Amino acid sequence: MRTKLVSLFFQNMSEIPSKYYTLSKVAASLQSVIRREYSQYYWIKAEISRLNFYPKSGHCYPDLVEKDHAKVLAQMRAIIWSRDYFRINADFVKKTGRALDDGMEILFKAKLEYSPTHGFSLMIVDVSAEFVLGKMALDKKLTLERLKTEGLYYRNKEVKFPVLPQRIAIISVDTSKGFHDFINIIDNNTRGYKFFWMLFPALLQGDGAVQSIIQQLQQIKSVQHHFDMVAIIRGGGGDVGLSCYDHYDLSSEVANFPIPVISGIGHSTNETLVEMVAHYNPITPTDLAYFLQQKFDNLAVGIEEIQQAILAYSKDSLLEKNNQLSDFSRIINSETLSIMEYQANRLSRFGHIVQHSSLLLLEKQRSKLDLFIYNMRANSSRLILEGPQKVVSLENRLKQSVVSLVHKNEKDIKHFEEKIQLMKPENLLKKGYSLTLFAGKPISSTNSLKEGDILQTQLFEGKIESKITKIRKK
Amino acid sequence: MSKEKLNYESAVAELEQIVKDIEYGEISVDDLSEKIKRSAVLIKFCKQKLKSTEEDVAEILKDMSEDK
Repeated sequence: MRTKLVSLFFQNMSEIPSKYYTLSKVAASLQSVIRREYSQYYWIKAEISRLNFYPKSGHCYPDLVEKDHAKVLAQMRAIIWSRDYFRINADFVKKTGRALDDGMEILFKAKLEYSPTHGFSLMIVDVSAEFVLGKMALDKKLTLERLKTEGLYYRNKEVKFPVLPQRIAIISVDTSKGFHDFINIIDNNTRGYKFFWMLFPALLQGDGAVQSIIQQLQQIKSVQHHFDMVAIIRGGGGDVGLSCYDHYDLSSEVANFPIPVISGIGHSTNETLVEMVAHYNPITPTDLAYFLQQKFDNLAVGIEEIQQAILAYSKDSLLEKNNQLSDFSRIINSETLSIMEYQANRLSRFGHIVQHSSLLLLEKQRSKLDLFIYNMRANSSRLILEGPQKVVSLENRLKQSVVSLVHKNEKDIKHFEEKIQLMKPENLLKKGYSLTLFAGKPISSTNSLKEGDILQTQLFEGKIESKITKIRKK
Repeated sequence: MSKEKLNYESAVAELEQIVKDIEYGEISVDDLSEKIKRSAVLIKFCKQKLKSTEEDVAEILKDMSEDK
């Protein structure tokens, strides 16, 4: 029938058609085709671009869309009737912790409906919570990985926690039970600790929460010098609408926050990303309050301990110094005594030594003197004894010398005498020598002689006269 | 040192130093009385600090509006 109808339309386009259909007939025809051809339910995947929930009637008229990035591939209206919606949504919230909402990608069971008055729509009878759950888990996992890759995961944990976490910027709502529990504890603590807090109201659940909380965080950042920490406090809201705390934008804002962010979101399901990246996550607002109170307790105890320590140590120190002083005086006393004793001993020892030594010295000198005297005596008597002896000896020696000298001279004289005796002419004549005389005078040369002269010769016995016959000159 | 310049963290740090000084006896008797006087001031400050705060919401709101 569909084909036939269409061809009819086209055949009669340029002329006034002889046959036509009323809209309701077409619609009725369409409706019957749809009913016949699409009688069963299908599981369909699509994104809810708008949920269009009408609280009065309780019906939902979601606008569904399929996109490839920004490009719309298909869009269609859907209906969830009131009774289906409440059942589906309750199951969905229970399983996923979030309500059906705009922008959510869902897998739903639906039947294609065509109504002559309302046109095409998908009548949704069921929505798979598991599909969304899986998708959420996957998203969370990817976001977690991204936070880690970007080095954000530990960033807020690495921010130094203040020694005194006294000034708290609270992100919460005035109507939250958790918020009231929290301030009740910290404002009325029995130890009288004083906290300063200021509420920065924000949506705490649902998709609007991400932007709302980020906005307040930025607000706090602008006055961060007034605060020691931020507390995100929810509580009392069950486990619904927590998916905002798995959102990348919010988690990274918390991770990057310059002062510690402590979360008290209060729920029983898995830890959200915001709680994971927060400086500390005591989970519930009450625990958060007690955590702070505990910090103060520790500080008070610490101060008490310091006070005690100072007291004890200063007592000890004074005692020690006192002891030291008495030690000193004792030491000085005993040292003085021992020094004096030592000196006294030394003195007396010196006395002994001096006495002894002087005696010894005297003794020594005396013996030396004695020896000297003795020597002197001995020497002088020897000298006295030796003196005359020496004279006699010298006398003797002198005598002897004189005798020997005389003796020697006598001998010499005798010798000379003998020599002289030998030299006498008689003795020579006796031996045969003769003396020749001319004119009465001895001659020893022929020079004055001439032949014919008479010579006289003296012999030992007798004289001769002779004439020279010949002269031989030499 | 005036009270205004003190903060809890520096006060505690100073106290801990005093404790350490006294504990190890690295302190003369002359200094000791000074240190004890000082520690009394610091302890009083710390105890007070736990039980009081000077923050003012009006001032924070003023700072926030100035920041914008």
